[in-house]
Amino acid sequence: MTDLSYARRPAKHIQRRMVVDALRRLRAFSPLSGYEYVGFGGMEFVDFELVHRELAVSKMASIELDSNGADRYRFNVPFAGVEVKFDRASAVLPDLLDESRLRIVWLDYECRLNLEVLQDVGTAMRKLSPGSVLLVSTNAQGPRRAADRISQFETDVEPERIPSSTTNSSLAKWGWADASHQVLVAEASAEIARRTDGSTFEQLFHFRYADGARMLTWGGLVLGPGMEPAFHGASFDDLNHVRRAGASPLEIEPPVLTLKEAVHLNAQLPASDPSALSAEGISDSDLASYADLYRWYPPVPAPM
Amino acid sequence: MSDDQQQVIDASPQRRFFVEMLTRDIELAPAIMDLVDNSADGAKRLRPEQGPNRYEGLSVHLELSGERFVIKDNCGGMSVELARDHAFRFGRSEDAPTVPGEVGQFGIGMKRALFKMGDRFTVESTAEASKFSLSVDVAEWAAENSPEWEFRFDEVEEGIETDEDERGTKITVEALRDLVKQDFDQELFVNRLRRQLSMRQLRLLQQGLQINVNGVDLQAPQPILLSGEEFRPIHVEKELPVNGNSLSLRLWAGLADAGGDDDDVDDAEKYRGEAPAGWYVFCNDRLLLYADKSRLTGWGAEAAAYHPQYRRFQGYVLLDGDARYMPWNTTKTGVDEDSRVFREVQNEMFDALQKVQAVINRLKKERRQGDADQRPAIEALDASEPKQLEDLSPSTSFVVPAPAPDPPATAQWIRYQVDLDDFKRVAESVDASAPSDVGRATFDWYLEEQVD
Repeated sequence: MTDLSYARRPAKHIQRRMVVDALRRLRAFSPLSGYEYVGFGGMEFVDFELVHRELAVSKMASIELDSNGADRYRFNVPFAGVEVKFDRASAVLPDLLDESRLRIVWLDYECRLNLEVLQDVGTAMRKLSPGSVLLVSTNAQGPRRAADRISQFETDVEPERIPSSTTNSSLAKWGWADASHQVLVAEASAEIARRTDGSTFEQLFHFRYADGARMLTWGGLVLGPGMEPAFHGASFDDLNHVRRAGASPLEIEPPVLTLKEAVHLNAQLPASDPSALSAEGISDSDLASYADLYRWYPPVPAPM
Repeated sequence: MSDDQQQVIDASPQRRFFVEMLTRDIELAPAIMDLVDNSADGAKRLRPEQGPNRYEGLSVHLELSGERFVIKDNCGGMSVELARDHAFRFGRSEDAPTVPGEVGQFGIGMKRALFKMGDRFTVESTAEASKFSLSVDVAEWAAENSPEWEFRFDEVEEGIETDEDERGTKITVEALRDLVKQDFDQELFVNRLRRQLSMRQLRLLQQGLQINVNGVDLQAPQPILLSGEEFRPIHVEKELPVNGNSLSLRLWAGLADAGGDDDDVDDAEKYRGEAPAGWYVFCNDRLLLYADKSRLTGWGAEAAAYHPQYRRFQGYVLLDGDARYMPWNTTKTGVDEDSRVFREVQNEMFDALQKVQAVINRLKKERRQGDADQRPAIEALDASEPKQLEDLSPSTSFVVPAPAPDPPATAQWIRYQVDLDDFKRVAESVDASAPSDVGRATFDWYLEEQVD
C-alpha cells in the first residue's frame, strides 16, 4: 500500500515520511504512544498506517466528509484504534478537541485555503493542548487567468486577510502558496494569542510539492510555557527538512528514476559533494534533488 | 502674606463648576438608567438566591413628566449608614462595602443623574433598621462657598424596626431643566427609554422584577432553549481566575423555539416576543451584548458568518462576581475587548457557536434530504421542548443523535444550453413549451428507443 501511494503521489509520500521522521522527536515532550493522531484518512488511511507503524501512536481519529458508504470506510480502517467521524472537519473538531490530551492533527484538505479551513486552524490553535502538533495541507493552485487571482483569493479568505503586497502577478505559480502560507501564519498567531495559558505556535513544517496541482503543507507545535527545554531537547533545527518561521519553504521535486538508476545512485550516497554523483542521462538538477531526497524514497527491493 | 501662604494655590473646585462637569458627559437616558441600576442592585442584595422567579414582587416605578421625575422602588431601601458614608459622597470610598453581583461601582451615578435632571431633588428611603429623607436645592448648594461639601438629612431615624412593606427608596426631582422637561414631554423619548431599559435590565425582568415607566410595564422575552432526551444544548459552568479572585461563568447555547425577528430592532414591540438570534452577554445581570452577531462573538471570524439559517441560535453568557473584575467598559454599557477575562469568555463562545452551527447545518442537511426516515436530528429536535436556562444540565457538547449515512445518489440533474431556434423546433415537435418538459421528453424518447 505504501509503495502504491508512492507511485501515485511521490512528493506527497516523501513529505509524509519527512513529517513522521520529525514527529519522532516529540518524545522530548511525552512518550509518543500517549499522542492521538487526527487526520483525514480517506479510504486508504495511508498516513494512519505510517503514523501507527513508525510512531506507535495507536489512538487515532479519521474525519470523513463522505458519509455515503460509511460501512466501507469503517471496513477499511487499518487498525482497531482508528475511529471514523463522519462530518465536516469544522463540525467534528470542536467536540473532538474538547478532551484535553496530546494530539497530532493533520488537516489534509483537497481544497484551497478558505474560511472554513481558517476556522479549523483557529479551533486547533485555541484548543490543542501544549505539546500538540497541527499540520495543514491545502491546494495552492491559483486561477490560470491572471486578472482573476486577487479577486478569487479575496473570495476565498476575505479581503482583510490578504497580505498587503499581494498582486495578481505575485499570485502566479508558487505565489498562491506564498500568500496562503502568510495567511495561515497570521491566523494561527492571532488565534493562539487568544489563549490565556501563554502558549505560542512554533512553525516546524513548510513544504511545497506538485504531484499534480500545486500543494502547500504548513505546520508546527503548540509550545506551552515551561516547554522550552523540551523543545530545545527535541532539536528540530537539526533536521534539514524542518522549516522554522522565516525560512524559505522546502520544495519537494522528486526525480522519477528507474529501479536500476536508484540502486546505482544509492551506492554513491550519502555524498559530501552531490555534484560528483554520476548516472547516465540524468540531469544535474535531478541528481541534486535525488541526493536531498533519497532517504525518503521507498526502499529499493533487497536482493534475494 | 506669609511665605507659607505664598506657596499655596487654592485648587478646591467651585461647586457650580463641579456640577457642570459632572453632568456634561452623560446623556439623560443613561443618567436615568443609572438610577434604575441602583434599584436593581437593591433587588440583588435583597434576593441573593438565583432562580427564574428571583425578583417576584419587587418593582421599580418611574414617572416622567414636565413637572417632575420620580423613581420609586420596594427593593430594600438604603440605610442611613450607606447614605451617610457612601451614597452621597462623590467617588466611591476605598472601604465601601462590595456586594457580589453589584453593578454600581464608580460611586458617581446617582448624584450625577440627579444634578443632570433638575434643581431640586428629594431622596426618601426606608431600610431594615433606619429611614431618612434628604432634600437638596442644587442651585443653592452650588452657590455656597463653604469649603465643607455637605448634604443635610431632613429627617433621620436609626436603630428602628421598619415595616417590610415600607422598605424602599423614592427619589423625586423637581424644577426640571428646560431640555429635560422637553424630553420628558415627548412620548418618543419615553418609548426609547423603555426600550433601553428593557434591554439593560433584561436579565432582571426575566427573573420577575417589575419595571414600570409612566404606567407601562416593561416586558422581556424569556431565555428559553429547546431541549430533549436526545437534543441537549450546550451548558458550561466555569470559574475564571482573575487577579487572585474569580468570576463565575455560565454559558448556554442552543436553538430557540422559533427564529426571532432579525429586522430592525428599534421596534419596542419586538422585545415582547421571541428574542432575536445572537449572543446575550450579562455581567452581574447587566446586559452588555444584545443579540450580538458580530465578530466580537465569533460570527464571521472563528465561526461562520451570520446567515438567516442560524436565526434560531441563542446564546447566553452570565458572568457573576466582583464588579471590579468585570470585563466592562467604564460606563458599563459594553465590553472591554482587551480584557483577559473577556478573551476567555470569547473562547468559550466561539467554541459553543461552532458546535451549535454544526448542529444547525446538520438539521438543514437532513431537511433537504428526501428520505423522511433518515432524519434523526430533526426527530430529536421535534421531540424537544422549550426549557428555562436554569433547568438545563451541563454539557460541553451539543448532544444530537449520530447522523444517518448520506443516501446513495439515485437521481442526476442535467443542465445544458442549446441553440434557441433548435429548441423551438424540438419543442414544437414534442408538443411542449417548458424547457424542462422538452428536456424530459427528449431524454425519455432516447431512453425508450436507444437504450437496452
